[in-house]
Amino acid sequence: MELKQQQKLTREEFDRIASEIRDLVGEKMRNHKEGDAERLLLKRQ
Amino acid sequence: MRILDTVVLLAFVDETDPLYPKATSHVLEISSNHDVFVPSATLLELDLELKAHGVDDKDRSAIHLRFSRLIPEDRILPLTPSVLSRAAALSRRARWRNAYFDTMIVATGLEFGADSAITTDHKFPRLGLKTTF
Repeated sequence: MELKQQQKLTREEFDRIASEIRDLVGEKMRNHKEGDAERLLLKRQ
Repeated sequence: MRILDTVVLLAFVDETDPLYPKATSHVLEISSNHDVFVPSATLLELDLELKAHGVDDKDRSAIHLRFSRLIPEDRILPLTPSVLSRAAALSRRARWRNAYFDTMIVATGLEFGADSAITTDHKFPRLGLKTTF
């Protein structure tokens, strides 16, 4: 499989995308505890 | 070669996390430094963490689309049968709770020849991989 070519990010683009990610996540990860993913995974089995 | 643990991405998405500034510099390194790689298991664990915390499908899709700009595809290490085999073998030594993703991430590093993992998780060395942060 040919990997997609990606243009190198400028620092400004990096900061903009990082900010957009944090806006989408909001405050939902504030009470994060280690192992939350695995607990969800095992609960669904 | 260094691999990135999920703890870095989780700190990166939360400005209030004490690890946030350092996590941001590590994420920046993925595309600028050719010795930093991201295991597929790290991305999978991130997605499950977001899901576990109520981030809905639409937002998760938008978040991962943005991460695809920050993490070039040639910096991602695949989850192969060899990685899963090694992870299952490592799980005999991982006697702590919630070790499933730890074993997959360390196994990826070991299979692909990583020297260390970028993480604050002090348990990784017990599975055979040094840590840095």
